Order: sequence, then C-alpha cells, then structure tokens
Amino acid sequence: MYVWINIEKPEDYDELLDVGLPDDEDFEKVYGIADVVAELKANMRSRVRKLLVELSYVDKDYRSTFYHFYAKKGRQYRANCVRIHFFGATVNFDAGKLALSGPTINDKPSHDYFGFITLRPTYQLTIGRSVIRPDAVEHTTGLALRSQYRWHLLGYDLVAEGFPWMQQHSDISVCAHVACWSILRYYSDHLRKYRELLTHDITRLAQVFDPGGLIPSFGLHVEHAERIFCEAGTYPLVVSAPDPAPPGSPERKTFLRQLFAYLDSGFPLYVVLKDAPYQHAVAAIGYRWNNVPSLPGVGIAYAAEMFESLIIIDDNHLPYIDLRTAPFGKQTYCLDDIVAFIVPLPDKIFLPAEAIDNLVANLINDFPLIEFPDQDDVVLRYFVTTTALLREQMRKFDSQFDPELINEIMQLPMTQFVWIMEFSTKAEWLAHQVSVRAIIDATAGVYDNDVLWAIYDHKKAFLFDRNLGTDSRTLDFHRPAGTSYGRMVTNLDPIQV
Amino acid sequence: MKPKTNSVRVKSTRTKPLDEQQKKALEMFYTKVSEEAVKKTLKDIEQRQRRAAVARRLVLK
Repeated sequence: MYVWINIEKPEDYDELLDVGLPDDEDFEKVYGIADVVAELKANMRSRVRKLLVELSYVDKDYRSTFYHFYAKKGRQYRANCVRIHFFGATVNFDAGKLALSGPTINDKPSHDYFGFITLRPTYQLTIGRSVIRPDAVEHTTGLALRSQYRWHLLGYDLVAEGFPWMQQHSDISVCAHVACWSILRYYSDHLRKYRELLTHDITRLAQVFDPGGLIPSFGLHVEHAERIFCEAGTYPLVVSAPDPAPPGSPERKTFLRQLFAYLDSGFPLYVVLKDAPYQHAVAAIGYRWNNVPSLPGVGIAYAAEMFESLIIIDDNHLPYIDLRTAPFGKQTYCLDDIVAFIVPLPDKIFLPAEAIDNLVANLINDFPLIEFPDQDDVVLRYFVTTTALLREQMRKFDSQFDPELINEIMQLPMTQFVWIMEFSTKAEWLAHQVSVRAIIDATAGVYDNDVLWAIYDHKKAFLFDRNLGTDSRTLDFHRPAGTSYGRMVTNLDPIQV
Repeated sequence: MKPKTNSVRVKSTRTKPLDEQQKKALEMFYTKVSEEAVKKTLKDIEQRQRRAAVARRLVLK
C-alpha cells in the first residue's frame, strides 16, 4: 500500500496523520505520527515537495530489535515499519500503475530524491533507520561526510546520499548506541572492509556478555563504545579534554585542534557532551568555516580556530544540526561541553595528532631549508589523508605543480595514510591557498625524529625516501611566477544548497 | 639478462643530493626535534591516556 502526498506548505505534512488504513485505528499512535509530523514541519526545507509513504516495510534494523527484544514484551509490537521517501517537485506518481516519473528519477543519485525515514511501531521516538540528504534539512550548510545508499522501491533503484541517522529507542538502545550505529553504518557502506552491524548487534557488542533487554536502557560507558568500535574492526582512540580547561585556555585549544584534525581527515567522531544529568553522545560528521574577512592576532593561527560550528548527528533532533560555541534552539549543550571524543581510526595510523601539533613549532623555527610564512602571519592546518587521494589531487590540479615534483611524489614509496601539514599566510588562507606543504609518515612512531616524506614551498622541495633509506634529495622548481597551491580538499563534501 | 618487468622508475633529471650545508642543517633539525617535540609528545600522550582512563567511566544516556 502506497500513499502519495504533495507538499506545498508545512501544514501539508498533516496528511501523514491520515495515511493509515481505515480499519487500523491505532496507526497514528503506534508509529508516533504526530511527533514525526511536528519534526518534519519544523525542519524540512521547502524543496521537499512530494512524499511517497510505504505503509508496510520490513526494516532490518528494527527487525533485529524486534526478534531479540520487542517480541518478548507483554505489549504486542508490530513487525513492520512505515517508510517515507522525500522527492522534489519534478517527480510524479501514477497511483494506478504504481509508477514514478520525472526527468531525473533514473539518475543515480537523482537530483530530486532526498532520501527517506522509516517509522518503527514503537509508540514513542519512532524514527528509525533514515538517510536524508543534507540539503533537504533547514539551515544545513558547510562540509560534511556522507555516503550513497542504494534502495529498491517499486522496481526502481534509488540512491540516497547522506549520513545514517535514527532516534534512540530509549530501551534497547540509547543515544550512545545510536551514535555508534550511525558511524559504523557509514563505515560499512563507505568502506568495503567493514561489515554491516544492525542495531541489536551494536547493543550486544557493548558488553562481553549478552546484555539482554534491561542493561542497555541504563546507558553506556565510554569504554563500552570503545569496545563496540574495536569489535567492528576499527582502532578507536579515546581523547579526553583536560579538566579543568576553561573555554579559550591553551589546553582547551589543543584539545579542539586534535578533534578538528581527525574530523578534517574524514573520520566521523563519537563525541561525548556534558549534559545534565548524564553525558550525551552524538556523532560529529562535518563543520562550517566562519567567514571572517580578515584574521587578526599574532602567533600561529590554526585552521581548527576557523570553524564556526560542528555538524552533528544527534538522536534527539533531525540530522545535521550545528554544535556552536553557545546553545541555540532546543539544544542544551554547546561546543565547550565536549568532554571527550573517540576517533575510530583505521589500522596503519600510528602517529597521533599530538605529535603533529608538537612538530609545528619545530618546523617553523628550526627547519632552515624551506621558506615558511612569517610566524605572526601563518595559518596551519593538519589532517590525515591517503597517499592515493594526495596523488589524485596532484594529478587533478597538475598546473599548480612543477611536473618533476609530480613525478617524484607519484614514485615516492609512501604508506597508505599520511599526515599533511599546510602552512598559509593569512591572506592565502582567505583565498584557499597554501605556501608550504609537508607530507608526514602516519606510520612513524612518536620516537622518530625524521618523519617527513616530503616538504615543499614555492621554490623547492625536499624528498625523503624513508622506505629505502637512500639519501635525501632536493629539487629546485621551474614554476611560473605567481602560481599558488590550492588548499587540499579531503573527504568531506560541500553541502550544495 | 632480461628485466623482470617492464616497469622502471622514471629517473629524475633535476633532483640532486643535499649538499653538506643542507645535510648539516637537517641533522641539527632532527636533533632539536628529538630533544623537544618527541619529549613533549610523550608527555602529552601520557596525560591523554590518564585522562582517557577517567573518561571511559562516564555514563552516556
């Protein structure tokens, strides 16, 4: 059974209250439709113009909790979910033929398909596995991680782009489970090496024993989340803020620099927030730069101090909300309430962000062979990327580089992951340009003092073959005057609004 | 004797080894790094691990 709804104005979402079959009197109550309508009215952009409602949908994540938990309860729970798809204005539906039409409906992804939400038959907090495209949600801008998810609907192959999100169940899973689930579902979809874990798999992995149905409702410790990420095949690193570390203090800034470096590297972060009476867990998946016209101050400025807000996935709100320096809207917490985070790293990253942070001053002050920006006019950004992505970017923007440098970087036997340090003058930063780039071995140990693969400015490069240990080499460039290096784009995609 | 594969490293015609002055400057840099950055990093990591041990016990709900 399918229902098509046209959305001209927010009040049209009220039609969802009446989509149940005539003999299904509990429909609205079972699927918590009134709360869902309120969320959609308040948060969906006006570009969402059509809804297709599947009244009976088998959702694997809900079923995993149904088989192990809801089926055991005295109150009877239904086995199937409702799924609501969001479309743009150009898509139409022929109810007689159950056929979708529109100029982009067969594109993958389609410009006019904004993803879907599922509704669980659990009476409260009913929004289950969902993937909504960021540009369908109000106020969402910036850079964010996302992946493509393929669904089948009425014989169509639809691709939804976004970051997985759901509300917490409040019993068999709480906010901490949901944050783990979101991150791990992104990993399993985005990177082939990670297996898919359903909601109840996440609940079970938190403990060495089967936690049953009661213990999960008490919440999780951070170490349980760490265990879940371990069991899923990642190598989680727990980073905790110094205490006390007042907002704006050097200790707090160092902590936020590490957080930003890992996020800018394309790793979603499991973020722990101080929120009475318990701590709260969300996933940080992107950020938005602040658009200041000039950068004041002296000393080294960090890219980590240039973002206005983090973009987070919070089970209490529709996805892609901001985490700013001050609470806003219904939020009770802000950026300075972050007390810890977990970054689920892949294997083969052995050099932590602290080591890179500490190397900066030494490079600028004591590396005599390269022309760095003046210390009071420098902005530093550092992040992890893959050698493959580094080479791809050099190939894509080859006019920025001396061809001989491209040849050398293509043949330098680097590791899968590298840390990149980008030094810009403040004027270059505002123009998205870079003066000096250093490439550092992410598999180096913290005791190593020679961690560089390569470093180059506008005039020359130094190349270090750590693999063969052969003599270091230098290369003087033949580049047209005035050519600039662009800031490297990593795994976060801009949200096109 | 035939080469084992057709792939060959494209020899750079313009890169050159570091001169003595550059080598000395690099050596001094490495010494400085090992004295300062490595020591500070080890201290930072130790503190981070101690704080993480406390954070692991936070209840999230």
